[in-house]
Amino acid sequence: MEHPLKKFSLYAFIIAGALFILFPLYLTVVTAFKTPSESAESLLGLPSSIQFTNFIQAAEMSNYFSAFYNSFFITVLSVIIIILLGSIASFSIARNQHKRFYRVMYYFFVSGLFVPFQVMMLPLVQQLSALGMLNKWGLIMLYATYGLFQCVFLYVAYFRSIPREIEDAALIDGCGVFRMFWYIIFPMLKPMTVTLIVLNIIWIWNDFLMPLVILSSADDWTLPLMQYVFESQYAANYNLAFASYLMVLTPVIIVYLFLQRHIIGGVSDGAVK
Amino acid sequence: MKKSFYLLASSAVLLALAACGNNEESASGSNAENEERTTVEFFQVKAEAVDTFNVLIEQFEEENPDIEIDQNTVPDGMTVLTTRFSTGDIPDLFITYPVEEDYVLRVNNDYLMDITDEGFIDDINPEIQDRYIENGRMYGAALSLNANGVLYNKEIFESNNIETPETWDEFTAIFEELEAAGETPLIMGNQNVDQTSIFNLNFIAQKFDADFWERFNEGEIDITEDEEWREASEKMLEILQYAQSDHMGTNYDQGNEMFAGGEGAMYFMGAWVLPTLREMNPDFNENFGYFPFPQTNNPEENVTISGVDVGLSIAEDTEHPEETLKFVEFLIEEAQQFANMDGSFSAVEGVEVQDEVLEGLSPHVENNQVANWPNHYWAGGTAAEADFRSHTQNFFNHEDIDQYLADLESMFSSYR
Amino acid sequence: MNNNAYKSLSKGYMMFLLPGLLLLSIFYIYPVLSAVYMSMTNWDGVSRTHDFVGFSNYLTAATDGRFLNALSFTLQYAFVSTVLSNIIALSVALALVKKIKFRNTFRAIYFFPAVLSMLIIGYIWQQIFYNVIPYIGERINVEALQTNMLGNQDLAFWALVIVTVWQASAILVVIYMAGLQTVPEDVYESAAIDGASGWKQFFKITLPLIVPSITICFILAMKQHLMVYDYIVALTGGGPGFATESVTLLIYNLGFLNNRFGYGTAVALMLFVFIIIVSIIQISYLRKKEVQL
Repeated sequence: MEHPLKKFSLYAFIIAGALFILFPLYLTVVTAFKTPSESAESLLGLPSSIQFTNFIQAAEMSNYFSAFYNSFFITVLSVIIIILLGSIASFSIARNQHKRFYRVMYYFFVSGLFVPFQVMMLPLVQQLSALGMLNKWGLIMLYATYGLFQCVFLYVAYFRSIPREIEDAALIDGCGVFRMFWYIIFPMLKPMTVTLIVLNIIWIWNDFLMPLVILSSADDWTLPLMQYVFESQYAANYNLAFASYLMVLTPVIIVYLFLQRHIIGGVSDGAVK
Repeated sequence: MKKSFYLLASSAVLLALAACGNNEESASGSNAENEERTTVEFFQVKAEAVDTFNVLIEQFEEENPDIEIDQNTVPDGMTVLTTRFSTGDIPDLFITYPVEEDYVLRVNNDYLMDITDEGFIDDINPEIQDRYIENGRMYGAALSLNANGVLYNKEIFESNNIETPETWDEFTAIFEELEAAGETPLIMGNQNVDQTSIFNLNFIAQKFDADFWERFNEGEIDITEDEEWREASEKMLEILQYAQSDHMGTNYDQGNEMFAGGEGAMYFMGAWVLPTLREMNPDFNENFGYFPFPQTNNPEENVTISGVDVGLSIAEDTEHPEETLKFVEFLIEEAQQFANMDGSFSAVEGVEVQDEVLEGLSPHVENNQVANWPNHYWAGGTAAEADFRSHTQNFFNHEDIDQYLADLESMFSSYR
Repeated sequence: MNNNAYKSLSKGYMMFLLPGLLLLSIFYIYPVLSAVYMSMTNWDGVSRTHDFVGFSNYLTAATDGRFLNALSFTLQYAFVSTVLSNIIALSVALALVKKIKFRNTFRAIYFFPAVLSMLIIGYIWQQIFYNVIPYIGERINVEALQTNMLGNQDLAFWALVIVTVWQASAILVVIYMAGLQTVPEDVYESAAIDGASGWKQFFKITLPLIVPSITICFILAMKQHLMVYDYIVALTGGGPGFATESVTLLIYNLGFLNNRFGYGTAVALMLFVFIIIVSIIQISYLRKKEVQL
């Protein structure tokens, strides 16, 4: 049944596609390690030696480590808040669907999924300025809020698969609502929690527009914003430029190499549900 | 017991959230306590001038240990400054260009401090400083001037036996000659929309003066029927054909790299580019020079665009008026030092240019054979300028003069 | 459960809801309401006062050539990118569900672009369009490839589409694979007995069965592409001219450059309405397909 020709064209198609995906990344890596004269000689060839001068120079010029720290801090804190507040809010919404108030609350939370950030962008800048929050704290609050939309949507759906009997039993045993949630319910949410953590990390780590309009001080810049700011400084020296692109992408690449299965699962689950 | 547990938990979350807001306040509060210094925020939009200002700030802080100048430079600086005004979070000191609509709007909304009577105003060249007059008062001080001309590669000119031109005909002949000799006569970075107007405003500035723009803003002139606009557009196209083959796909940085690397004979650019080009080519000073843009066949009529490059305004509501004024006064006093480091012309009287490349433009600037940036007179300010550039970039692609003038007319009339 | 326990339980539920509700009220509902109000004013972002102008900003938009140009670009770009990325992703997914060697490795490679920053991807491709493609064009002597696509009025659109499809297909591949794996083997077997194979089998059997995945993928992709911003900033800045100015970039420019906060917000609200309409059309169209077959 399997024609060799059919099989060959199948592999040719998949491999060609994979090469197309990998080509920009290959180019990024080899260019980042080359000197301008090496690139002039051969744009696509391998570097003659592995050296890190481009990286060191790019890191110094762009204040890379400070931006990395900001990205890390903002992402971690935002994700923690999203998961904490989202899980408890979803719990109370999911378990009170017989009450009108909570049904309204569900639509209220989920409605945000459809509102583009641009709608709120201009008033938000005003509002955060009035609150003195045009900084990373304001940005974290925004991520925490906008992360809740999807978080509640996915958690509430997931709660349908968790039987209520366990909770009732725990409550009758005299376990408080908070303890019951934390020790019994929250662990049962683990698959969805992993999905949500993955989705939110990817979103926040890579986000560009929100930091652009919210962060007013260079001390707070995240990696994408830092790249945007310094693009004009090294765009002409493309070896340096590629070194800095690679440095921004590296944390994600490393995490992806190790957690690739969880990430693919998480993202596709999150998108499908 | 159970009740208090979750109450505690929820409030812990809320507290954590509240703490986020507090954290920063307490941090900045303790800073002020420890150091007892007044911090003046200097919102500085010129990325090229950051180092120069840092040197001057250091000197100033040494003389005035109780004042700290916080130079703040961000991307899209002018855009961010607009936002800062809209949110009422106005920096103590910032860069402002005179005449421009943004300046006028800010003056008329009482955002800027009246500095007409300050002593240092008298040290500034009145020809320039008077551009700041609005409702009879001045709300800004000019420190330096930019200048826009033609950078050329001396080696290429010499090897082809070419002299710098003084008239339009000589100018176009040079392009012809260089092209015939197999050189790239002109480098342009037109993928970057800003670059299109750095080139073509040379014609606009030469043809139209402030009176024209006043009538124009009143709607008395229709660009589509204006012969001068048509002639200027024709000249743009005439020059454009000599640019390198992919000038529409080359951006500012790439253009800089090509020109500094010796790939083309000429480059239309403002003096602000000099520090960047020097960094790219250590021999820049020996091998490159400037000459004024020859728009017409009468050298007397040709002008160099020169506008305020660094002009300073103080916020009306600043909490530190004295300290800020002191710093502005210091900058005006140190104008020579600033000009040397920045490589720009000075708006302050008695300051001399010491930049060997820039000297090529000195005759025009010193004889006042200059024109302000035309866009500073436009209704619509920065926004009209941005639209103008985009329409120009379109024009360089389609090369249809009627279309271009029609687009500009409808664009300008939307701001009237 | 006694009455007391029940009371404390319902209080507990309320407590759980409150922190999230508080955040949403401050950072979501309040700005949305102020946006609606702001869109009916002529505020320029600088003046200390502004006037209420009713719906005139919306009427202005309906005849504003710049907005209509941005809207038309955005719709074309979103449509083309959505269709292309879905076709490509579905083809890849069909290949990847077959029993092939290194399937997991290929899957990991194809998904990889999904986790990368759109801005950085834009910058990398910008360098490719400027340096690499002309370099290859010279080697193989094809004139069309020798200039930067991004500087060309017509090609800039396609350059953006290429970058978008490169990255956006990644997540769609995974969703389609999940969808295809739910199609039971015996359906194919009975189809083979009936003599259906190849394309016929695909259109008659596979496609109808994965309509739910198609719905998700189209809506997901369409919404994302209608809100394109990062690529535009990294690749073209909206140029050449206004050729690639998206609605989102226009909103940013109107607000932060043109000082037209009121009008910019009105345009943003119109984009919102567009996204809703397009999503509803897609859902109802695809749902019909699902019922028919």
